[in-house]
This record gives sequence, C-alpha cells and structure tokens, in this order.
Amino acid sequence: MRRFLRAMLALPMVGLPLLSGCWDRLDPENMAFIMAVGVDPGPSSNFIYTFAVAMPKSSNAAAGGDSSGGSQEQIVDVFSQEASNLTAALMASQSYVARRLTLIHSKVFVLGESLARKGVMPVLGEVVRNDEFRRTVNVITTKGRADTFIHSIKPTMEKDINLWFELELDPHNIGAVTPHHSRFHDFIVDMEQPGTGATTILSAARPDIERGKARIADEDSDKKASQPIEGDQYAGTLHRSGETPIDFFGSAVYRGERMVGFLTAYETIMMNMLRGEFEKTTLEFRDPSDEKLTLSIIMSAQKKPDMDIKRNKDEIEVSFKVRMEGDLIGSFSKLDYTLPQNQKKLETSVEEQLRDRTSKILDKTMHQWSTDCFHIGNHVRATFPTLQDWYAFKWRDHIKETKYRLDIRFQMRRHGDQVGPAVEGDKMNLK
Amino acid sequence: MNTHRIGVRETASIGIIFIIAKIFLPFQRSLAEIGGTAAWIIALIAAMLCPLTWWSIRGVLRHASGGSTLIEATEEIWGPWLGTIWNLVYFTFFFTITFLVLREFSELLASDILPRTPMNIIMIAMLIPIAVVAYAGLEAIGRFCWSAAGLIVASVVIVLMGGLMTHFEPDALLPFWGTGRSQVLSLGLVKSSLFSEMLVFGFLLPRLRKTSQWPKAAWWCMSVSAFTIFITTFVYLFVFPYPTAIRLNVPMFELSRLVIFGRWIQRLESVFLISWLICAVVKLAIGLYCSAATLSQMMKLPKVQPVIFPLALLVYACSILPGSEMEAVLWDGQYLRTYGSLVSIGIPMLTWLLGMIKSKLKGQQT
Amino acid sequence: MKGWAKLKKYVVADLSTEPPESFSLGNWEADGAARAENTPVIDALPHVPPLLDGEGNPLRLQDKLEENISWLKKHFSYPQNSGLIFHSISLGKHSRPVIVVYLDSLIEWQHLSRTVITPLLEADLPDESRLEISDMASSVFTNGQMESSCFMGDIANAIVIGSAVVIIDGVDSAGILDVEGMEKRALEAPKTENVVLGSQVGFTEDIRTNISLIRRRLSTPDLIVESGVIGSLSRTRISFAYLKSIANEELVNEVRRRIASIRIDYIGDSGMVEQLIEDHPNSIYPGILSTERPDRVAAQLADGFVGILVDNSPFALIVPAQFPLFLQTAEDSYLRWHYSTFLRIVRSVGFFMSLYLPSLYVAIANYHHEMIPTTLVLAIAGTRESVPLPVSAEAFLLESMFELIREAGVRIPSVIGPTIGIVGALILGQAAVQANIVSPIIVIVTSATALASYTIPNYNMQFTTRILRFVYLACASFLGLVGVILLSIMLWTYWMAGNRFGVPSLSPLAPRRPTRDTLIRAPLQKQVKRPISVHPKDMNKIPDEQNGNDSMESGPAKGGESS
Repeated sequence: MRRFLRAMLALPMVGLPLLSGCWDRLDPENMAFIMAVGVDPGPSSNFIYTFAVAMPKSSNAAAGGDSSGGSQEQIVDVFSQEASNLTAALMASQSYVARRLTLIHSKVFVLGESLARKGVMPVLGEVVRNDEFRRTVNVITTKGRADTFIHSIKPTMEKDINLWFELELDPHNIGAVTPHHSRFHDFIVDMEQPGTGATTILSAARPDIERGKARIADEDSDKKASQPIEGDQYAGTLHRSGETPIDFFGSAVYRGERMVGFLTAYETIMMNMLRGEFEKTTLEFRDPSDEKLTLSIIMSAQKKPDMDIKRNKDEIEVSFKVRMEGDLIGSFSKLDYTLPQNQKKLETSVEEQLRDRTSKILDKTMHQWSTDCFHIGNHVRATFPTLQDWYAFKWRDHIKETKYRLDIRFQMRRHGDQVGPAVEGDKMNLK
Repeated sequence: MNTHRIGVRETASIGIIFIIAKIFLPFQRSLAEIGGTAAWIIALIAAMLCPLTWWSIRGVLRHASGGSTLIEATEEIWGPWLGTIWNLVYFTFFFTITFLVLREFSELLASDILPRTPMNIIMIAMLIPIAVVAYAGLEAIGRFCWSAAGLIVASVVIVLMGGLMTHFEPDALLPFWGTGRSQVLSLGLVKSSLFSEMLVFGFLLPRLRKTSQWPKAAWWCMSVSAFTIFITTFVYLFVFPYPTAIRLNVPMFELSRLVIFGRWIQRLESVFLISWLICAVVKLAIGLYCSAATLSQMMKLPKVQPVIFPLALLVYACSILPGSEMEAVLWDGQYLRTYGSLVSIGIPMLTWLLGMIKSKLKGQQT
Repeated sequence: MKGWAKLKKYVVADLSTEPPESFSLGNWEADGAARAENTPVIDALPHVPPLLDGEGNPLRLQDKLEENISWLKKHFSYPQNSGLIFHSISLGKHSRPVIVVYLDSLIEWQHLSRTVITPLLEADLPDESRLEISDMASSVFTNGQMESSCFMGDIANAIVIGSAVVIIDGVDSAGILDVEGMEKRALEAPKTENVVLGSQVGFTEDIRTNISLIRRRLSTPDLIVESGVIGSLSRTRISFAYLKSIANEELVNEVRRRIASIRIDYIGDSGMVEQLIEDHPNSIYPGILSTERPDRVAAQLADGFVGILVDNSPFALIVPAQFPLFLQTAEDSYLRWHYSTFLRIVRSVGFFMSLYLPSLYVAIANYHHEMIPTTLVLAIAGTRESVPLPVSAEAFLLESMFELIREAGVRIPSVIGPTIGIVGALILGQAAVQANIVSPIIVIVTSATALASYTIPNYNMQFTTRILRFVYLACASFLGLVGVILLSIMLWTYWMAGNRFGVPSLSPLAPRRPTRDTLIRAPLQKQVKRPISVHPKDMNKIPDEQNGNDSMESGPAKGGESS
C-alpha cells in the first residue's frame, strides 16, 4: 500500500511540467504560411504590409475526389495591414486570421517603388532581427505599389503557389535576365558594404493583361523599321498578352539604401556577365550583314571573368577580361555564318556590340549613378592593409572617377541544327 | 576509485568535443568584432598557443606519482594549502564553463527553436541528460564521444560547404590585418583561452593504458579542434562578410539557415541542430564530470558519482544568474575567455616549474 | 526505507573502498587482479543433488531386493503415480530375482527389450554366487552403455530421465541403461530465422540433437560441451559449448559461475535462463543473443563466444552479445560481401527507422515545420483540416492499434491468418482515413515503421524498438526534435555504459576496435582476425601452415589481451 502511495506521488511530480502543455507544439493545420510579403510606404511614416498566404489544399484524396468545375480556385489569400514594423503587422493581422501566421515558408519579399526610392534600410534592418524571417527569401522591387503586385499573383498553369514561386525565381529557368543572386542575404550584405550597389529582380504588375485589355500593336506599316530587341524592355513594358499578369524582367539598382534606377533585361545580362554569374541565355544581336535584322545566340561564359584593379593613391583602374562563347541559334540573314570568314565577321560584330553595351552599363551605373554593382569594391579593399584605412577611403566618392578597360572575346561554337540558311528554291543558285 | 582505462580515440574525441562545442555559440562573432576581417588570424594564433597547455599538463603529471590526475598532482606538488587553492581555481573554471555554456545554449534554443517554452524547462530538460551522461562515468562518455565526434565534425563541414555554395564573397578576408596588426596579434594571445578546455586532458591522460599513447591523443585532439575552430571562422567571413559578421547572433546557426541548394535542400537547420545539440550536451556532461571530479578529488572521495547530482543543481542555480542573454555572452567573452588562458596555461606551467624544481632538489638530496 | 537506499547512491558520497563487483574481459580495470582473488572459481556445472538420509550420508542401495522395491514404490508414490513399471526377471540358472524399473512413458519398448530384457533372459553367467554388476556390463549388456551406481539418488534420477534400472537381489549396485525413447520433433527449418541461402535446419527441443547439430559443424576435439542440471523441480539439462583453444578462459569461468548460481525451481525455456544470468535484468536492451540456428551458434563459437543450450528449448543462447550481432544474420557470411553489406545497410536503416520514424514525424510536423517542403506541408495541412486529433495523438493511436494487430496476429488461427492482414490494413487504416479520424500520412508512417521493425533479425531487439518507440514518441510530442535528441543521448549512453558479460555492449563500435565485420563486411579473405572484444586466445582466423591440424597442442600461446 505504501509503495503504491509513493508511486502515485511520483506521478504528479513527473507530470507537473507536462501539465502546462507542450508550449511550442503546433499542428500544421493551425498555421497560415505566408508566401510573399510586400512593403509600401504608409500614410504616417509607417508602412503598409501586404501578405499573400497560401491556401491549404483541399483534401480531395480522402473524399474520393470530385473535381470542381472550371472555376479557378484561389490559391493565395491576400490582405494588407498598416503597421510600423513587420512584427506589429503580423500581430495585428493575427486578430482576423484564424490560423497562426508564420514566415518560415516565405518565398518573396517585395519592395514597392516609392519605398525603394525613399530608402529601405529601416525596413530591412527591422525584418532581419525576426527569428522566423529567412535570409534566403528573394527580394523583388516592383514598379508601382507592392500590394498591386501581390494582388496580381495569379498563376495560370500552376495550382501550387509554392511551385510557381520556386520555378519563377529559379535562375536556371529564367536565364540571366534577372540578377543571379537576388536573395535577401546578398541584398543586405551588399547594402552593408560601402559603395556597393545592391541589385534586385525588377518586376511589375500588369493590370492590363489581367483585365484582358493588353494588345500587342498590329503590323507596322513602316517596313523600314529595324527589328527591336526585346531585351531592351523593362518589366512592365513587355509587349505581350495573356498568362500571369506579372513580369519579371530586368533589375533594380540601389545606391546605398535608396533605389537609383532600373536596368533593362539586356543591361542586366551584361551585368551578370561582368559579375561572373552568367546563366546560359539567349542574346539578341544586330545582324552584321543587315542592320535591320537581329540574330540570336545562346551565350554562356567560357570561364569566369577576371577583374583586375590597379590603384594609384586615389585613382582606380579596373580591367575586365571576359571570355564568352555561344551557339548561333537563330538568324534571318542569308549569309551562311558557318563559313569561316562569315564566322569571323559575326564574332567581331558580337564582340563590338558586347563592348558597346557593357561600356554603356558601366557608364550608367558607375559614372552616372555612382554605384558599384560589380563588387569592384571588394578588390579595391584588398589594396588596403587595415579596415580603418578602407573606411577612411570612402569608396563611394571615388566611383565616379574610376576608369575601366574591357577585353571581351566571343567565340562561336555551334550553329544549331541547320548549317546554312534556308533559301527559297527559286533563289538558290548552285555555283 | 575505479580506474578504468580508455583508448586513444576516445580520449581525443572527448577533448575535441569539449573544445569545439563553442562554435555553436557566438564566439565567431566576438572574434569578428575584435579582429574584423582578420578574425581567422586570431583563431590561428590561439591554436598555436594550444600545445602549451598540453606540455604543461604532461610536465605536471610526469613529476607527480604515477596514475594521478591533474588535481592530485597539483596538490602533491604545491602542498595541501596552496594546492587546494589552485584546485579551487580549476573547479571554478570548469564550473563556470558548464553553467555559462548551459545558459547560452538554452538561450539559443529558447529564441530560435522553441520560442514559447519557458527557459527553465529547457534548462532542466538539458540538465537531465547531462547529469545522466556525467554519472555514467568517463568510459561511457568516451564511448559516446567517439561515436558522436565524427558526426559532429562532418555536419560542420557540410554546413560550411553548403554556406559557401550559397554565398561566396570574393576577397572577404582582405584587408589582411583587419582592425590593425598589433591589436590582432595581442588579442590572439589573449584569445588562446579558446583552447583552454584542453585542461580536461588532466583527467584523461592518467586513464590511458600506456604513457606512449599520450602524445598521440593530445595531438589528434589539438589538430582536429584547431582545424574546426579555424575553418568555421574562416568560412564564416566568406559567407557573411565583415560588417554583417559582427551583427549576427549565432553564426553557425545562421549559416545553417542560409544553406539552400536547389528546390529540395533548403531550410534544414533543424537537421544540423541534432548534431549540435549532441555536442552541447556532451560538452556540458564532460564539464560537469570535470567539476565533479575536481571536487571529489579535492575532498579525497573514492567515487565521483555522488557529487554529480548536487553539482547539477548548483549548475542550474548559477545558470539562472545572468539576467539576460547579453549578460551571459558578456560574462563568457569578458571574463571567462579573457582570463581563461591564465588558468589553463598559467597554473599548469607554474606547477610544472615547481615540480621540476622539486624533483631536482630531491635528486640532489638522494 | 528501500526507496532511500536506491536514491542514496546519487546523493550521498560513498566512502567505501571495496572493489567494484563488475566483471570485465580484457582487464581494463587496473585492479582486476585483486578482484579475481575474491570470487571462487567454480569448476563444473551443478548436477542433481544427491538424496541424503537422516545423518546426511547419501542413501545407498539395500541388499534385499524387496526393500529396494518398497523404497522405490514409496519414493515414486506407486501405484498412485502411473507409469512406473517393475519388470521382474529371473536371472540365470538359479533364477535370481532381478527387477528392471522404468517409466514407460519415457522409454522405447523395442530398445528396452533389445538392450536389457533379452540379454537378461539369455544371460549366461559363469559364476553366479559372486555377481558384480560391472561384470555384467561387458558380458550381458553388450547392446547398450551401462553405468552403475549404488546411490538411491542416482537410481531415482535415472528412472525419471528415461533409463532402465536393473536391480539384482544381493548385489549392492544397480545397473543403469539409457533406453530413452521419447518422441522428438524431426529437424525442421527454423521458425523465426529464415534465410534464403543457407542451411534450413533449426534446433529442436532435444538437447542431444542440438549438441549433435553443433558437433557436426565443429568437428574438432577442441569443442568442449559441459553439461549440468539446473532447476530444483524441472531438473533441466543445460550445456554450454566453447572452443578450448579460442574462447577466453575468464569468459568461460564466468559463464559457468553464473549458470551454477541459478536458484530456481522450474526452467521452462532458454529465455528463463537468459533472464537469470544476464547482467542488467532491468535494462530494456537485450544482452544475450538467442538463436534457433545451429550454423549461427557454430560461427560464433568459432569466433570465441560461448553457446548455451537448454533442454526443451529450440533457442540457444550466445554470450556475450554486442549490438552489431543483433542486426546480423547467418546468411551474411554466406553471401558475397557486396550483397551482405547491402543487406546490413538495409537492416541498420530499418532498425533506426523502427525506432525513430514516428517520433521524427511528430517532431517535425509539430515543431519544425520549416523542414517540410512547402508543397508537402500545405498538403498535410489540407488533409488534416478535418481530422479531430492532434498529430501526436494520431501517432499514439495508430501505433497502439498496430501493436494490437501484431499481438492478435500471433494467435489468429492460420485459416483466417491472411484475412487479418487485409482487415487490419484496409479497415483500420484506409477506412479510418476516409472517416477523417486519422490523416493518410500517419498511416504511411506507421506502416513503414512496422515493416522496418520486421527487418530486425532478432526477436528481442524488435521488442526493444517497439517499446522505445513509444517513449520517443512521448518526448517528441513534448519538446520536438530537441526532446528526441536528449532522450536518445540518455538511452544510448545508458546502453553504452553497460557491459554484458564483461564486454562493452556496443563494441566494436563504441570502444573502437578494428573490425571488418560490422556494417560493411569485408571479403572473407580479408577477415583474418577474430573480434577482439571477446579477447579470444587465438586472434588469427587463418590457420598456421606449419602447424596445420595440431595447432592446439603445440600452438603458439598468443596473449589474451592485445591492445
């Protein structure tokens, strides 16, 4: 009897800590997984946070599955909350969202244009302390407001919002038209370095496409216009209709904490090329035989570009050595570029065009905007013995005077599935 | 007292785990704070000073009667009064390590992994396995360490490689001298307390079967732990370059959160948490065992086991002492790690010197 | 207070300086020599205690036949105790009365008649006045093996084990002939340890058959089988076997000592012997390997282990057993090393899955949602929306259900045996999912765990994982992965710290010993050393070319301890 009593006494002692409950235990169906967070400036020096929460999948498997009709199910639930910081926004939103909001599966952090121009460091600095916030989310800068952007997330082909985000933001899918590394970690690390220009993916909402009112212009009567290169567009001005009403094209460049401008897709490709983060992409060039036509080449980097810094007190000279190679994949010209003399012509023309475009972007970012997007600062830092000297140098003020030299070579490797151009039978003469 | 023997591998693993468990605490950040981009130089200098502890312990044990541990040898060489004072200093050292690391690790668990669980539940939940493992004795600790050491070092290497693949900042280590050459060098000397946990060898060496196995165990331990501590600081600076490096709370944890490789391998920090939790618990068990062994050898008790439960209670009580996470990190950085090398290098060296003088005098007499 | 005594060792310093009680092979205790002097060395296994009379002398056979017969009748409670037969025969020309006593349920009549009755009837004795039973052994009882004894204890014991006792009037000793003829099970395939490539013979309940199965595999005079009797009522025959030139003497002595110190009335099976001789009876981990296969026993004997056989039990015990042995089968040595390595990896994964999978699922689904890929966690959230139970309750429910099914399946009549698999799986699993009582993913987890537990070859070890699974599940519900890890540390350290028969439980993994036979099995040509954990006398497996067959007589004395 005594032993029984003693055993019974032990039970509440052991169970006492357990009685208070398992504090952190949270079932998956109790959670609301935020997929995207958007920030816009708010009315009184605060911010408007827009959240896109993934809708849980309905349990069709258990019920034996009866498919719903043709109506599109909503796969994200979007709401906005005005607050001074992200944690306050989450707390306020918890009052009307039944499940517990959590950021652990978030994929995207969207900065609205006006906020970007005002300065994003307060927002980033506050968000990075949050224990649920992950440094691997992608940062996107939108033209216009972030909440419009998030409301426009309506994938047409995917039922799974996670799949859409991950595929859309995968640099292997999208090619080099957006910066290769646009994660929060890269963004804030670049921002914390002196003189560096952080870059993010540029995107825009397309309300015209959503409403079905996008029209691509009809055939132009002017037959003399040269073919435009689509890569010279920004996000938001892509000439298209249909599909998801969101564009990801180009990049946004920051000087310190303020956004200073946009880059077109082509400029972004050049930036990736100089940074050494080039994903295999299709590039359009002017056809050397006919200025009005374009040709497409699948480019890839032969090896990583070399960047050499020469510092002479305050004068800095950067030399880039870039080696690219490509396959000719599309050409309108009647010239057979696989013949050696034409190949040489093509390569020279491509190199010239590349050089032209890279100097334009270097001028634009370094001389005009005074921001260093190419991690030149890292190499300049190597020339100082201690950190104190480096910080005393004030790299940002010296970017404008930095000179650069470009050494770009291109080599054509393959020519696609066709050797010579396809020629109409009547126009062909066999010599 | 039971004098069970342990092998070379177990000894080296115990030492390794005891030393490298600190990489899961904010030590890389404190190195980056004081050294800037030259934090790795500080780690390197600290590693170079590590053999001093080993040589002085070996010297002390040589000059005392065979089979005695560091505590008994200190008392033998210095005499009862002074020896007990030095042993009390050793005891304080091990005890401080134990309760501070317990507190810091519980803070890490409380802020990131289990946010709503009350702190004392976490600490008690950690203390129970710590006490059980320490109670099981040094052989059991050795066997467990041997199985766990490989796992821990492998997970550290995987995290580092994953981090490098995610973000690699070129030239992150330059400017070379970081915050200044003299500061880096002097701080390197001070921070040799990073390896002051080598003192545990004072308990391990007498348990090895042969004296010839001592150097092998010691050098394995020193090289692997020096390598691990160095490589984590080194890679940390590449993945989180200088200004960011001084702002993160727990570097290795943030590194593991950053690892992303394609669509499937991401958000795996809880997997690495497994090995780090094992490392922390085992280190604290070793620390608790060392404090208990010091105390029981000072009081000349035949067994270590009975002292462990009361000491565990004391550890719990003391780990609640710091008022906040910042205070705990402050105590660790400012007091333990600054003066730790005095305890781990200074006292054994003095003891060794005195032992040499004494044996020379004895040799002259006879 | 008994409770205080148990608690005392943790709290109050123990100032006694007695040497510890533990036994260890390999002498890694520095003062092992002191300990060895304290314990007495036991030379032989116990046998049936002799019957003693009032003064303590063993009871002897009387001269007069009638006295002996009446004593036997009283001793065996004849005629209440049926089966005891007193067959009287007249011996020789002078019709000397002879009684053959036996229990008819134990003997075989043909054998008895051929060995005892007919020789007695046809006996031609030269000198009948001075008759010694020992003469009759070579002259009369030529068909059988005769022993003689003058003690009533031996005679009574001989009758109950199936011998026929020949008591001759006027002769002071009785002859005992073994005419045992009980029905025995024929050699069959082992019930619990099936292999594909290997012998299909398992132990039976008869100890002599079992010994013969082992002797057939180790045809060397080096194989020593020591026999004895344990259990005061059951008087179960027990033998243990070892190779004299290989097994460590201390180990053999320790086994003998432990078996000799068994004090119990009834031994039903080798499982009872296992519980009575093991080191840590309260530990949840098994310490002795029980196997039904003679080739397994023979292989382990060749490595320096000791095998214990118990009468009436088809399971032999192998001591000392370490953790890797529980995950190995006999087939591993017969397959090529690639295949057996693959199988071992599968079994190890199965072991850990069986132990950890439900608790890992509960921990991750409840505490570490970030580890689950987003698509999956959304699917889980979707399917669980209509389920009323939290994740840990689901897991407990299904695991308990599965234990019920498993236990029921043992006793289901074989006619409807296959049906229960369908019933269990379909109705309990699928229908529960459709009724929204549990979510589909927990059904997958539970079935995977159950399947994984069947990859563990040893029955005892399966129980360990089945029981520990629930403990881990509780800790996972409480603190998530942190709880699972902390509990693992405690349980594994507890396992590692203990020794089983002097050998660390997790060697050769824990105190690291060079070995080529744990997870990755080296080719047979490379396995040149015996496992050092049992400290065999001869470490080399490959026989010396010079010595050949006579290696044990003049073999080199390799030390018992090599470090």
